[in-house]
Amino acid sequence: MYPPTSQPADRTRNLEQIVLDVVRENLLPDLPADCATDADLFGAGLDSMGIMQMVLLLEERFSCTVQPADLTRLNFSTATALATLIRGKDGASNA
Amino acid sequence: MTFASSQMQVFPFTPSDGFILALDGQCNRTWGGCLSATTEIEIKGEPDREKLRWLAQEIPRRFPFLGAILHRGVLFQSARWHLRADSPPVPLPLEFHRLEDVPGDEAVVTAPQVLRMRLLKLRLHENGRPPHLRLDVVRHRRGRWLLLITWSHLLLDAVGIELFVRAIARLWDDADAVVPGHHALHSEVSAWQQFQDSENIREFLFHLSGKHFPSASGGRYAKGDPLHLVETFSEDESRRFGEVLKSVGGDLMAVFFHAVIAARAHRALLYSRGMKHASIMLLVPAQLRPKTAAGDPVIFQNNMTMLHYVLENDELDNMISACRLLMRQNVEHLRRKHHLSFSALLSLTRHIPSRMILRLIRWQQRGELASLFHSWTGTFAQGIAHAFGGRVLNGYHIPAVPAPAGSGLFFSECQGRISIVLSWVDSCLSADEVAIMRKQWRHDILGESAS
Repeated sequence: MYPPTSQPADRTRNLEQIVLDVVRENLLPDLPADCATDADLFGAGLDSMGIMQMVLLLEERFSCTVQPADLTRLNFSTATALATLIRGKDGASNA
Repeated sequence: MTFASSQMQVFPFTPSDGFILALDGQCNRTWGGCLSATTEIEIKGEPDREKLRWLAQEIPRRFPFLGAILHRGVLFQSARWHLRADSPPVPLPLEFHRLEDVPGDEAVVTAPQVLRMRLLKLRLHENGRPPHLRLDVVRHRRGRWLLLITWSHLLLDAVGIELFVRAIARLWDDADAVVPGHHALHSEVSAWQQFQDSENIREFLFHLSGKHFPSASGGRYAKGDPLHLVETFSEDESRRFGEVLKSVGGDLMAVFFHAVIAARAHRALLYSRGMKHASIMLLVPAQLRPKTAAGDPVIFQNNMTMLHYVLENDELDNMISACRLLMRQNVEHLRRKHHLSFSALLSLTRHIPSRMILRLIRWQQRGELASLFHSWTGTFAQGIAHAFGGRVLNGYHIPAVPAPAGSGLFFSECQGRISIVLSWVDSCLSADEVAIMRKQWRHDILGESAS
């Protein structure tokens, strides 16, 4: 179900990179262009407000519902971890 | 920023100057003090008095904003900070104290709580003039001491003071350390634009206006001294606290978890007053903190952008579902951009005379501002472990609260231990009611009987 259908070009990129771009566009504009997908987002400035904005982005851009149990530091620490969370949700919704 | 003369900088500080000024004035009417808080840091070892005196002199030199004066606007002119570039920095007030049974030549205090009460009651600043901050040192028993930093909300908030603590701890270790620069509000959006930007939150608040959220003060202006109770849990108890949080959700649910504990403690108070069906509204700060040119979060920022959380009485029966509800409310606030909209509303209030701001809010909310004040500030000073020559044993904030709401419940964590601070105006809570609230939070956290 991801990425949003309005951005077909995104389909050619991997989810980790898409998530990183979403984070950069919406939350952390100072993330360097060559930032690794396993870079620490908290170290880059993701704060409590940013986490909840990320929840909203996950729901709106990736059509998954974030549950309280998903709200862990580990899940939000990197773009890779967020992509894993989204894939888990995708798998769960397809099951 | 404008320059009234070559030596004077005149500038608005943050969008919330007007609202903060209104609450500050309310504290003055409540107990003759100001909207202030004391941050207490417990440190292992003995205080270095000479170095502390040096620090009290050095801080105003390195943070010139501490010398700024807030001028109230005339009618619809917003409040403005004035900073004279040519005036010499004035050392911070610094006093040394000791507990009765600790030998020494300092002034004696019977207990830290007594000193904190005295500090919170102080009129720290006179009409927005410095000092906006003072230092007190208490030599404690068993080779530990307390550094109490009492600060005005006109210039700082809890996040700001923790950044400040980290900055002055760096200065302590290295006199040449670079401290974060300042940031003042530069671009002024027109009042009409702010009015438009605040539409979402005005609409939200309009829909809230039919509800009643009784506070400890019962929606009345109350007079009385600012009192407080601090409860620091042991490491073992704090671990149990963490286990209850795990049953609610992930570790990032902490902000909602603490809000629910605060709401349930307030509900217990309302029950004891015979109000069995009252709704509860919490105002939880949403951090919209600008950064300096160097990318550091700004220290001097009285952030008051709030998100409103409403819980019906029966929604608080189950902690897990109440936490889920708050999380969904948060997502909905962000979807509607209420945080930005509220910030625009605050900017508008800078142009409204401060007493009128509170009248407007109280008129709209049937005399109340919120059920109670609340915040969860997380790990104290980002986990600072060593400061001012010793190991940091504990750290938390004790804010003074105006009436209404008349009470506030604040949570923080330091070195693996949770602290809860209940602040209230003495005519708003009786000793029995304080005991009822404490019993409820101990029940929620430790499973103790609440009856």
